[in-house]
Amino acid sequence: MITKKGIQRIIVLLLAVAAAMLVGTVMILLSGANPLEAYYYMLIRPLTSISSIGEVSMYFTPLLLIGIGVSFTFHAKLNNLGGEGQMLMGALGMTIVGIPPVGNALGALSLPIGFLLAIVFGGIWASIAGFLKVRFGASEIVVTLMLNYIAVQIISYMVFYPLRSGAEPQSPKIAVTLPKIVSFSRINWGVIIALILVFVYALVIAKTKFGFRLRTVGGSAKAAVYSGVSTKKYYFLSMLVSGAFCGLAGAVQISGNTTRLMEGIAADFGFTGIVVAMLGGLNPVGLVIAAFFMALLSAGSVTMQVKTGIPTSFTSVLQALIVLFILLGMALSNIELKKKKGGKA
Amino acid sequence: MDGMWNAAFLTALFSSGMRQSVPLIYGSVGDCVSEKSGVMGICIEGEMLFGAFFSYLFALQTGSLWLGVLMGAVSGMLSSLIVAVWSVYFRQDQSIIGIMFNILAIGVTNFLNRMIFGTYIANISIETFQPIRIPLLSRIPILGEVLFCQDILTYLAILFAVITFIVMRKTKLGLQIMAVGENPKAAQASGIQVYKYRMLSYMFCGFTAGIAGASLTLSSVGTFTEAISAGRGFICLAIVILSRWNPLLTLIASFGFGSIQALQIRLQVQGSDMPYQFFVALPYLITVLVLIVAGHNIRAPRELGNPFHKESR
Repeated sequence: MITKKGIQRIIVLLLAVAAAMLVGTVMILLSGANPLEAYYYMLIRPLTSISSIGEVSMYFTPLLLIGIGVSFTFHAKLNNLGGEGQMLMGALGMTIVGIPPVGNALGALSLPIGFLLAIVFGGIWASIAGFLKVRFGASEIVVTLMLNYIAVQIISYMVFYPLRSGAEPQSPKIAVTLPKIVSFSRINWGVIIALILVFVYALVIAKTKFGFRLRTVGGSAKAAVYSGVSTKKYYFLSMLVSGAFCGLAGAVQISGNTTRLMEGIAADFGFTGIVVAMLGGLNPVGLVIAAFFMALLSAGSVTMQVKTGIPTSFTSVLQALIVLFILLGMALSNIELKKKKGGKA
Repeated sequence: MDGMWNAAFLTALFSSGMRQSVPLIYGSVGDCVSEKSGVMGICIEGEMLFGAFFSYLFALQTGSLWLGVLMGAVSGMLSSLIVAVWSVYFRQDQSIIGIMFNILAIGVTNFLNRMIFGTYIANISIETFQPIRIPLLSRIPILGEVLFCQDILTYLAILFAVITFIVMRKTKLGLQIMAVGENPKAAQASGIQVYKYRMLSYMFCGFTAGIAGASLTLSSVGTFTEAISAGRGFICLAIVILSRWNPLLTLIASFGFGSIQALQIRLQVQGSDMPYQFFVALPYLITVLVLIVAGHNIRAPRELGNPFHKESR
């Protein structure tokens, strides 16, 4: 199944990670710390116990969901840079249903209803950008970015005023949380839900008319017939679906991790989700691996900061470098392919 | 509320709006040039951050504000080189590069900030650029205070927009940059080196975004705080669309956005029935509205955002 081109792509991805870590090593050395020690705390220490793997899973689940969401738009050659905003709106949807009195009244039902509302909220938030793109030609890039800032303020308003409980600006705790898989670790059923959805994503993209049309619109599927596929419709739908997944990430973040709505619960997740989609190469298995790696970086960087004094912002640098090196690698390997072609002709 | 809209309030509001518009002017004028050549300025946000950090660092270390501005501009330009090489020479998706570059900028500036200044929440403040009163003109009611009682970076911003306008509209260089953004194939056929023009236009944009960052730290705040650019780079993109890629019109649009920002801060401080979050979100909301109104724009450079293959026929 793995083609020559596929192997080449995997090599590019691995090299990109290696190159980014090499630059990271230089930064660690400059800051006077020991690179081996720093990378140990970042990449290996979080995996040494089931409870610390639970911490990694707190990042893994939302990142995987956003990675899937972003991949939908990438297939249509659109950019959803609004993962953070959509995740926040999803978190809001989950919170409204989950907190008392509604949460108590609904009991365990508050989870599926909350998830559904999160999907709707995230989907609506993203489809604003989709609609404005299709109807008014407004750049989805700028609109999704702006919607992030607006969502941050909406959530801030919500936790400061209507949903506030107590002195801190945060909502009350939700009544029912996602059940844990094992009692001694925070890892919960959100992970399983996300993994099932990766499978769904793979099926939708590869086997359904929707997935095929999406790829046609994005130009990556060789369509025999172009006519009849409405570009605008699929632009809009890809944004909608993308936002739905990001919204679900917000619901998982509330019901499986923070248990209440607060400011900053989606910070960095939106953009890291893009890194996941890029590093995973939009491939279902790739997305899982990439989301795991990014979750490891995020969880590990906290320990690294405590133990070695290297700020957690180091992770942002690594993430950005990984994608930049992937782009570089893709450019360079394309150039080589082209040369071969030219040589034959 | 009614009592506050008097002359003194408006003067103070628009005067502050003018100050707020300075980083927007530098950013959007640079972006006009870069977008005319076909490269989108999504990375302005990050270049501003680099400019803000390094201008503060050098001004603090050397005691010279001007050296600070220069190093801010240079850091913006050098960092834009990454974007220019990746998007022009390697022909990769400009928005992905842009977003990743911005994350890189946040990461690097926060990293350096923590490493150099420790984990203090507030950095040391430095003496900022002071307002210069222009004789006679500054005595005009309202207008004098708004336009002729600002610091040197504001005057330079206006001058800079005017010069850029003239260069873009009246010189061969401006025409060539435009040709590269409108029809790179034809430009190449007529002997213009498309890659070179796009790279240099983009680096020019990085240079001005760096000054925009310097104006954030050295004009008003006097210190660097993490993520100080706060989305201004993205607002510049909306300003450029609203101004139809005309550097002179960016002055007006920037002033508009600057005034909204100033109003937002005032309403927050004065306290009102509206929650303050509404006012913080206002500039971003208006940016979306601008894109709705001006989104379908036939004046946009035809090849904006599209990579150009040198060998393509």
